[in-house]
Amino acid sequence: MITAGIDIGSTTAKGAILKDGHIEAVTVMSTGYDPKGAAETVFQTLLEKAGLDRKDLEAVVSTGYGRKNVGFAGRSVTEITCHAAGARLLSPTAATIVDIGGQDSKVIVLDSTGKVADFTMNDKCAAGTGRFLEVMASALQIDLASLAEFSARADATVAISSVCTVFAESEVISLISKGEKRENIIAGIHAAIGSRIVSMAGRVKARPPYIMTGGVALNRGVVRVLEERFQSDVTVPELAQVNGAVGAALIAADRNG
Amino acid sequence: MKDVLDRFEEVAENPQTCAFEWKKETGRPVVGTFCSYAPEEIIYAAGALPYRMLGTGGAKGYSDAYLQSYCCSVVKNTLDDLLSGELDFLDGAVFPHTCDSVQRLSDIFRLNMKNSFHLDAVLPAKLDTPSAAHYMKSVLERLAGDLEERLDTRVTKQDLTDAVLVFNRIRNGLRTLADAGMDNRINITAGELHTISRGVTAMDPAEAADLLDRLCTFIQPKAEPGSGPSKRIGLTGSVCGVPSVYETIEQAGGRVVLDDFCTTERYTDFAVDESADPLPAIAARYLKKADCPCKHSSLYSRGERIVEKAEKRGVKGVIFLLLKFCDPHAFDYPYIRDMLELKGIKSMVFELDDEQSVHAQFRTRCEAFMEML
Amino acid sequence: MATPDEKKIKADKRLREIMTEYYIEAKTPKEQTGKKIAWITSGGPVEPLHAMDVIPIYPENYGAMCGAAKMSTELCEKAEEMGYSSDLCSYARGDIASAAVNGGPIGGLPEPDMLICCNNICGTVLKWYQVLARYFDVPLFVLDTPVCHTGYEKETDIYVRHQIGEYVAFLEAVCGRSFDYDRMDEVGTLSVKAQKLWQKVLDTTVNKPAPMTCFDAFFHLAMIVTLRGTQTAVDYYELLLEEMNDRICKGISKVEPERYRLIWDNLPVWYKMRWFSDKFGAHNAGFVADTYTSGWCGTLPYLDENDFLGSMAESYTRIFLNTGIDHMADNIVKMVEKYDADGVVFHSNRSCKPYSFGQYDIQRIVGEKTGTPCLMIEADMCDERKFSETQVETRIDAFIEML
Repeated sequence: MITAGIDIGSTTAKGAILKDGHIEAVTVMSTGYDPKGAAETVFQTLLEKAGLDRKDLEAVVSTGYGRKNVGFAGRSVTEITCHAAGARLLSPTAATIVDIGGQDSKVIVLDSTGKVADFTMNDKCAAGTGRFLEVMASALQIDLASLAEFSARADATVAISSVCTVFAESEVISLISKGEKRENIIAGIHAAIGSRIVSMAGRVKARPPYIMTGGVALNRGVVRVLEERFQSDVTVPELAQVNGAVGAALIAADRNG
Repeated sequence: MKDVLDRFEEVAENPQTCAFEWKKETGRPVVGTFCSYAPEEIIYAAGALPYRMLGTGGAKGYSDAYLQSYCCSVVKNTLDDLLSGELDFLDGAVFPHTCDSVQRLSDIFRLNMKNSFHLDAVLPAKLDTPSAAHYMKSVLERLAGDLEERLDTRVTKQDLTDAVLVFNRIRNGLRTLADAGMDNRINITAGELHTISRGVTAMDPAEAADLLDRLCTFIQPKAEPGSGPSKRIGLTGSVCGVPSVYETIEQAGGRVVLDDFCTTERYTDFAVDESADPLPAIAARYLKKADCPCKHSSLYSRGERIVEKAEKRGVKGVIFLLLKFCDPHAFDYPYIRDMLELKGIKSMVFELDDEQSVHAQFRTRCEAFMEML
Repeated sequence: MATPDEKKIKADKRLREIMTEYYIEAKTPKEQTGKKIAWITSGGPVEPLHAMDVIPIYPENYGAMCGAAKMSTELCEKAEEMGYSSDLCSYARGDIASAAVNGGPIGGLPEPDMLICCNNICGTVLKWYQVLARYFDVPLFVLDTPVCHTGYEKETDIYVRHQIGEYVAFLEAVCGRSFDYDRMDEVGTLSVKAQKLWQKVLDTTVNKPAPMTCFDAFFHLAMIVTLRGTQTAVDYYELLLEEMNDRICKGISKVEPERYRLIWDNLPVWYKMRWFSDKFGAHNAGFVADTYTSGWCGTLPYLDENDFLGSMAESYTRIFLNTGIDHMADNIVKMVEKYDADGVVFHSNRSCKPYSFGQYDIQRIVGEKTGTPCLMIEADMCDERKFSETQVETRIDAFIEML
């Protein structure tokens, strides 16, 4: 049986096609300002990659922030449930998923069968999300993608005490003007995100093994901080970014199976 | 049935206009109150319409010059209503002691109200001792006396008894409807029940009691079959002014069967003893009704009540809608969550920034919660 | 100019010794001291505990210690993990977490045998002590002191007096022996003595230049909070008062030259005490008085030395935080006059709503009645994450330019 999962996040749109529980194709692109169009493009790209036609697909499930904008999907399921399902295939031993995306962050705890046992999300405040990193990267005038590289060269972690993004931004600017090393400031920014996530994780009684998904999982600096705070490995699956889309495709198969 | 529901909706959506019209028609005073501990029976017995201030006008920014950003929206929006002149129709206001924020809101009202009286009814925070019970009665007696003076009237025993009968009818009607709605014996949604309870806060109590009696005649003896596969959900928190919360939960596949807000269950709970001396009987009700986290009775009273009701109504999951900066509820959340968990009832907490609007993330969380249950 | 060594207050050392001894005794196993331990709110009636030889422990004082040691934020985060909102009082969050993980500078407070909660300072303590009572499973006594928005009513007096009786009965039940009324009289006398001395210490700053600032008062306050009713507190404040008078004679002050005399409202920002002191000091501005530390002697007029127990109801109910904001404003107006202040700085404290809400009205009243410039600073007494140094710095500089 062939199914597809389409995950429309706030920053990126992801897709996956599964055939009998095996991944046939995955893709990632920017969402831009048109979630509907992005969904359509992701779907087309997937079909081309897998060499399939629309009619070959038995079911499509959409997920993510823009899940209601995917007209061709049979139904939509939240990214929380999809991430849990995706992890069952991609990281079967995982007990906790930390997902940090552009606009929100989540901690999902799985039960022994891989189903969602509990979850939590960030409140309205952007601290602890990809947005927080974006704002800080722009304050430091460096590329978002090179944050990890910078933090790896830090010889100390400068404490960023403010939790509010606006306060933290002005704190970072004043640290720059005090002549603190950018590397050390970035290490501090990563530590601040880590604190927020650890606090969220505590609320839902998170436990190892941990995996991390979402765009921020690509930042090794944040992953390292989480490993220190959790005192445990935090694995980033090879297909971390499409974990939710894979989960959606699995759920699509399950309903029909 | 529709005309009755329409009337409640009309008042719920325009409480200020409706109260003002009542005043013009009857020539009687309107007295603003805050929180479900405001002894409405006594205000009504003094000839006035008790009008519950819920900050319904929304945020207008005036209150920013009086209250800091870390104050909850119910308190800020209510002050906005006052400062914008929307509450100018009030003849006075009665503040029962509730929480730290309302304590200061009362002071700010007192210093900034124009041409209307202000009274504090500093009810006890403790409800579980004989001395607190005695004090409760004394405060209510003082309030009755103060109202007599401010409204230039007499509050007789008969006035109090009459008021008790009306408010008992209202609370009983709301309770009966809620029970019937949750058992599918009447075609009323939790969202509609919420609207009715909001309407009651700004309507002539006699009219409200009559309308509720009329609605109760539509209750069927037996449950309608086929309520669908929806998950039975409990809601708890301080107050919630967003009817869309109920819609969102329903659209996500849930069905609210326990509604423990300050304007719903905690408002309707416990009738005044109609056979007893009215004033002590009113005092007794405010000691015994479902308690608010601002009060102290037993250490586990709120948790026990919520767990008991949740079990009785077959609740699968409880959503804590916590109003941001509402300290008393935020302090109670962890222990009640744990008590529910012990009974195998899952819960989810969502922080409402403004009791008048819901953040978009609520939909995703509700859906994920239903998927989890 | 006084040398840095001369500027230092010598009594500091003695205070540290006493507080260390106090915590050492409290942390000594109960089998050795034979004393029971009560956790009590900062505005709570401590005297009956001393009369019953119970060691009073103040989580709020410990909260201040954690804050000053910059250990609060971590504890607050721990409480948030437990499910407590990050908007709750940072003393409460810190203490609830510290009880669970034995945190803070002395590795947690000794476990209580009873909890005494008086809501004259806020409703938050009621919720906080309920959490503690569930956690430790020990008896909780709540002294409910109705707010005196505009005055002290007769029924309030009857209610609180009755509860003082209930408090005595509670202590008898928990301690398993009858209440020592003779000892209570002695403790009451000592308490009044210490409060009067503390007021005298605070009054010394009427002098120009002031021999100390409110940042010193925040520190020396520890004794009047925890040990009032003991000879130790009386002796200590006599020593401190003597030193203050000596400083006045010698013209020693913390800020030299003292160009601006300011008043502080609300709790201190514990983790930034030095920073604030230096920041204002650099502008030759010193805080000569504050509304917080005077809270522990503000109800002396209602206390009857000869009937301490009987007058406790009124004096504990009428503390300034339990009154209306117009009354709180008048208190500041009087302070401005008494201390001849040039400005008032309001700490808008996210952790303390009853102290902070109403500050805008208070600011207006103070401005109208005294013409004194006012500054509002937003922070939190213990949670460093709620503080923006750059924002506050700019406001301080602008305020000083205004004076």
